[in-house]
Amino acid sequence: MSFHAKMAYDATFQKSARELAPDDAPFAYTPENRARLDAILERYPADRKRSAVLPALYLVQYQQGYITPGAMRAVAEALAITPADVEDVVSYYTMFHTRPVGKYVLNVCRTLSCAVNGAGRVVEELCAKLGIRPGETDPTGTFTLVEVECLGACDRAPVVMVNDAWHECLDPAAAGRLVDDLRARGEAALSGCLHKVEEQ
Amino acid sequence: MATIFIDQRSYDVPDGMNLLDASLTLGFNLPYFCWHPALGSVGACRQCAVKQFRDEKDMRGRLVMACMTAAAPNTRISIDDPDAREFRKSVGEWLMVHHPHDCPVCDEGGECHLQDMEVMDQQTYRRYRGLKRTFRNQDLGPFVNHEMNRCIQCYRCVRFYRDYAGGRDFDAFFLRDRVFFGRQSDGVLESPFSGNLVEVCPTGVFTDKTLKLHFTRKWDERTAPSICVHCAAGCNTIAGERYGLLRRIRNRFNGEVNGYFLCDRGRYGYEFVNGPRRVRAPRIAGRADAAAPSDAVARAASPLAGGSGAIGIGSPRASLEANFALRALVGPDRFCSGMGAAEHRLVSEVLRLLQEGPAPAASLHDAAQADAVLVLGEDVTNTAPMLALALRQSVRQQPMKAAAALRIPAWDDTAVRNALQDERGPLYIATVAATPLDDVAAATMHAAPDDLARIGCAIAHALDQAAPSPRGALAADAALVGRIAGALRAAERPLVVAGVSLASQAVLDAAARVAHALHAAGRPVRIALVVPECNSLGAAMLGGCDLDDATALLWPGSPLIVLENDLPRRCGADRAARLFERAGELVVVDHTLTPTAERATIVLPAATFAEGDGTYVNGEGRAQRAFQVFVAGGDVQESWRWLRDLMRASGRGGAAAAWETLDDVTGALARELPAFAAVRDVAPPATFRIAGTRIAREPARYSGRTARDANVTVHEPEPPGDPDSALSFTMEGFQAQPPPAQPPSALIPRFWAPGWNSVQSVNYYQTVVGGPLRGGDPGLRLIEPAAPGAPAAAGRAPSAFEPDDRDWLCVPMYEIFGSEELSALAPSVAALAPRAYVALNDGDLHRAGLREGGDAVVASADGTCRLQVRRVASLPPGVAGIGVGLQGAPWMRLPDRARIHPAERDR
Repeated sequence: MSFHAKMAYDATFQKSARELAPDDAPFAYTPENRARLDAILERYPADRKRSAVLPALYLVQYQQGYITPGAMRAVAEALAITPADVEDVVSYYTMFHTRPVGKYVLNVCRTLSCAVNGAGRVVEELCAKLGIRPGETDPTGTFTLVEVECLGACDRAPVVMVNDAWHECLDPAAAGRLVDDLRARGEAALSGCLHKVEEQ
Repeated sequence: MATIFIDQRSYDVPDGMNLLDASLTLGFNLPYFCWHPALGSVGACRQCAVKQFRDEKDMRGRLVMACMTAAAPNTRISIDDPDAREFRKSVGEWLMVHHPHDCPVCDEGGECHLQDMEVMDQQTYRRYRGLKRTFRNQDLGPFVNHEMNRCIQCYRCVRFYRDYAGGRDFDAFFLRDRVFFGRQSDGVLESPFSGNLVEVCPTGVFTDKTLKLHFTRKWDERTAPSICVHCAAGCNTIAGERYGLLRRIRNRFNGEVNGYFLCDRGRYGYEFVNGPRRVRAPRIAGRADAAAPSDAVARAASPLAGGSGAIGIGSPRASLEANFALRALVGPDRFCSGMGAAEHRLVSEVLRLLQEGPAPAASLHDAAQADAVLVLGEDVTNTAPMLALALRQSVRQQPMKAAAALRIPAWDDTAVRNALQDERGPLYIATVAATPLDDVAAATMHAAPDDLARIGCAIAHALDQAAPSPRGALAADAALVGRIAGALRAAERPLVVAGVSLASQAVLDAAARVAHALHAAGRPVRIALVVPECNSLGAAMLGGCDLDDATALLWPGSPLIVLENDLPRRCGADRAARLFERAGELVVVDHTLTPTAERATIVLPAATFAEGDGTYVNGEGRAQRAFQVFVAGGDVQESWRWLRDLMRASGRGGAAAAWETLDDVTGALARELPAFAAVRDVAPPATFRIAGTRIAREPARYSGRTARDANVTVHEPEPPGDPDSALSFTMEGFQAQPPPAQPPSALIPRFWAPGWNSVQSVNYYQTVVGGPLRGGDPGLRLIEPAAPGAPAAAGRAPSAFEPDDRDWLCVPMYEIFGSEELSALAPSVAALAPRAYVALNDGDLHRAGLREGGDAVVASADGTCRLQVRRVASLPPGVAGIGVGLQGAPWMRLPDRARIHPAERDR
């Protein structure tokens, strides 16, 4: 991601060969995800369903990889809020994708602690290895590389978050191995990390 | 009072202010963006930085945000400090980084708060040479234009739209330098207060889309203080004109009435003034060309001269002066208020309740300050929109006490909202169907009108055992009734809201009983009674009969004079036709070619609110003067002048025939009817002068005055004189500016202060920022309850509503866009007006075999009509809502029983 005005975010960010769902494509949770959402909603009073907007959006993202306008409307309906309320949240957080991304999203922290510990070299290594620039998805649709702000693991910098899991104290070589590992073993490669986001 | 020191001079300021409030109140030029007097402080823009010093020995000081710092006693600040100036200038520079240099083509140019602040910061040149971020703008509907590239991210728009007005379809999106304010997708802004974004936005992101169609710079507009004529709230407006076209309506601050805001009907309804249906020359039936005024008056006057017999039908949408002139022409016994029988009876009842008390009428300001509210039967968002906005603020009053206990000042908006979260004070809404205000209500009840009255009676009974208790089961549970009564009794400023929109005497009685019971319990209760039109209460105060009586009084062949009124809207086409047939000469004095005017034998072209002065009495009983903005072309003159001409030509009216000026009319009115004794003092007389001169309607920078009429004449025409007010039609005269010499508040034609060209200049006209205008807010209350107040209404509570298995009880439903006659003639408002409809709940739709969106035939005693079917789930069973006043909706008496069946069956 860049702050430079010349760079149009929408043109390059998360560029992917995959087709975008049309704006009006309807979205429906799978029965399992709907059940998970209902379980989450039970934690909140009936008139405060909007409190569940983040998990509801994560469920969308787990289900279809990114969040379409149709999905925002579906979430709004499920939580009895407006689509504007939902897009407010979606557009604010970098963790939510509004365009297709790779199977693994590599979020490299570039905030101070990680930066002084060599996050820049990690990014260079990943770019070289994947043949893409930050903000892009590789042609196979497997990896998306994103630079993000602080991931809250400064004591183990530099850190790369792959989907939901932190991979910490990475040097360029380790980052390269991580990519190889993901290619070779898929999801299983994520299990060895130090921390994993608690299951919603 | 707190003593604070600004740049080493001491000042006394009221307690509880922040430094920005205090500095602006004292008249300092301190720039700001994110702060708004009605929205409070959030400290986001960092523009109002000042230097604060610990004590007189502290030479270093530290920068603080004035809006976020309390003006505590002995606070020492410097506005002029070089560090503070430099800081403010740098903030001005950042804000301009992405702001386009498009002022010459921007609608906001010349009245832009951002322009003013950049000049104040002395931020002249831009150093940034990079590209600017750009956005795709959205189509936000017919009212508001969207140009996001100009945004400076002050967040005032979302704070107004969501936090203040309760809109949910508009929001802030993205973050950092990509923050975007708009809707999730293109579409009409759903809030009926969306037009305020135009004034809330400090720059040109949101601008008036109707103004764009006939754009004029602020400094090229001739303006006058005016009153909105599209409902009974009586909001104060500034109407602007150029080249004979009314260009736009802006808010005119009145602390007691509308404060800083207007509803969209009031802001955008003005285009009827420029509409194709306007009458600009007298018309005589049977003649193709326009008649000369003298011919038309002579012809209209000749049957009047013969003797009595003429009936005058006044109008609740015409000014007091026009109605009074008609009354003088035909005589008090033959003057009709212009309202149908039911409406006349109910509005007269409202008048009686306000006159006899015991509860005094609530202004909109009082409504916003109320800490417990019961709304009985009134969908205020659609019948008196600004009252709904006031009630939205009232729910903050009780939780605010908790914030005060935490020692959070009321102006610290973020802290207050964090402390209060979703806490809301007691607002209870009992209406026929769900209303747009329900989202902030503590509880809502939906029931048939008689059941609403029963709920009201039960609340009154819970407050005062002397009030009758309704028999049988209630439509609301007893615990809720007890809770409502408890909340009203415990409140410091309880308020009861009702009105005539359901056309139910029982509902009005019940509201009066609740107010009476609260009064009997020693609570300082106020009552807000919504009446339909801008001068409904004024027309009722003039007395006169209703339309049924007028029909009975009219001898066949006698002349009928109709003043600014469309009778089929009041009593149905059939009755109106019978009345017209019975009349001899039908003289209509109106500004618009209504169906009544089309039937007239003579039409005299009347001035609208913008083309003539007039006084209107709002629902609170407040008389307010709307001043003429411009001289209409053609033969248009004020209705009262046409009626005066008829008096002269027919030899009737006595002394009234000698009226020359508006002051003559208001003087006669004040002398003849004691209730109007104060009406002369509503605004200074035409002889008023300030600094020996009139007050100029045109600003000093008004351009092209000598060239303006060059297509007609190369000689500059003599400017029209104004016998009716102390305003002049040109830029000659006193230019409105704040003290030491500020015009009387009723005569402020526009707000402007040196360095302040935007709407924010109103700060300098107020006693304290956000407080009343200097010299008092304009308008005078004509009605105060008599002490000790009337006894409670006699009689019993009505019996419960019984749904019928064949008929539906049809009740009126209102639309902010479409139900009011004049605003519906404005294209932008008409674009949002729904088709005439009948609404039923799901069960009733099924029972009647109707489909949402299909057509239904509604057959009542007044005939049958075909209406679109609307599904309103909250309607009680057996009750159908009929959209009133809408295009294509024939008049029917409401409430009334009617059969409803699918239109298909008809064929």
